[in-house]
Amino acid sequence: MGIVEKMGKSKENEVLTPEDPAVKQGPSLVEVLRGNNSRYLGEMLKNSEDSEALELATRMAGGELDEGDISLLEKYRVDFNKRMEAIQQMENSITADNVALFAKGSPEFQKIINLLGPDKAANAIKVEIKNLAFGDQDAQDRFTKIREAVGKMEAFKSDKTSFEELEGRMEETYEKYKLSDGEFEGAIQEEDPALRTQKMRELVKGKYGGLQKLGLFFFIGKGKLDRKAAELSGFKDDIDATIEERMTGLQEKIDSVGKVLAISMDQNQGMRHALSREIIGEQHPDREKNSGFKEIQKELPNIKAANEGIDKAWIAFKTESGFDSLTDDAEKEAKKKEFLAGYKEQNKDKFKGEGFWSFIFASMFNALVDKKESELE
Amino acid sequence: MATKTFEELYAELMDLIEAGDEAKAREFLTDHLTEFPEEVQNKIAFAFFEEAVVNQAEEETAIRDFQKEGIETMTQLEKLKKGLENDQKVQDLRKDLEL
Repeated sequence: MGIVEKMGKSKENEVLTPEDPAVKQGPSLVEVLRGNNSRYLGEMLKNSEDSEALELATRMAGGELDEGDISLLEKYRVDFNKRMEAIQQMENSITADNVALFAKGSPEFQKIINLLGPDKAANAIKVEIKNLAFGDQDAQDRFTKIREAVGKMEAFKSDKTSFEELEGRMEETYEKYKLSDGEFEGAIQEEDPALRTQKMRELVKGKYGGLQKLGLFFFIGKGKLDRKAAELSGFKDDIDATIEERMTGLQEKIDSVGKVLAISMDQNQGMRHALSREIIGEQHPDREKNSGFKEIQKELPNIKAANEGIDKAWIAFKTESGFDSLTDDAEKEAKKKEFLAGYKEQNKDKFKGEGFWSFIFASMFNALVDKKESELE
Repeated sequence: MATKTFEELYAELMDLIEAGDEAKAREFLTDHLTEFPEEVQNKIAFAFFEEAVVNQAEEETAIRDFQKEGIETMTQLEKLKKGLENDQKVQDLRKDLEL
């Protein structure tokens, strides 16, 4: 009886024993090991910082599991199922429709979707998401970050009610202040912040011009008029002072309203994103740094050396492992795989930097190493 | 134009990185995407996806926060308007009483 069958038996026994909450948490160990995603359990164990998990992964890879490992595997099954569940939830969001949504702020990603097609792009993303979820701590952190970002995007997408409400409020505001879109756009497009604020202020004050004028047109007899005019004039000054006082306190906020309205009313995506970038401008240096361009540029000589050194490393490996004395083809293939996996592992630290470029170069480097398999002799 | 091999594409990309032109290097990835092996194409697609989705979520959050602030400001402006209208009513009342 093989180990999986033995575990099946063990599972049957579990049914007869009092319920353990962990048993309920997703597919059973037998189902996990026999399922299509079983390799990810191995990956999860291999990338664990827990030495016990690492040893278990080694025994698993070598087909050396024993009965004592059942309880250990059961322990990690719950974590595995939790991760699979998180992946499943995220995969539900990675639809062909949604990838277009995700691309709306990135012309580069949009171009990729156009080239690959939304379905293929969505599938590529799903595969990589799984790799991240079962990867090392850095990969898992990236997975979490992406999951949160996707969650936010989904929330924005379903948050139509508040967005429509906002648009409604803005239209109302235009009407109340008797501002036309044109007037507002004219003011908001002023480059100089001080001038822009002044223009906004004039626009809003313009609405109250009517209030101020009303008092000045009052007329009854000259004496009374003079008195009244003076009084009204003073009253007008009071109103002006009130406006001035209230306006002064609201200057910054009025400017903010302008920006907000401009963002929302603007139909042009480019301008919308430019404005949003302006708002969160301080985050940009970090974002550029996070692409990891400078780090990869610095690492480039080492990456090149690793690319060029693979043949030499293979010769050394062959000698050490006694490859040439092997007669069995399957054994030879296994040794080649061992060498390539080892070579990738050995050079992993060259792509440890965070960001876009580390990921790109790690992917290309690994693909080039894998490609060598057919050339190794 | 003859299709380039993966190794040639990789070498060209390295040259662009060495030259320090990130924009060109990024453009190179999208311009030559379909010439890379499929597995690499998928990785490139994912890298752009990750960057787009994380950045966009940040921007959307910033916009939403800003819009919320805008709504609050509008509420304040509406209160200001009401206050001024009340002032006008007082003025009208005084005018009527004096007549």
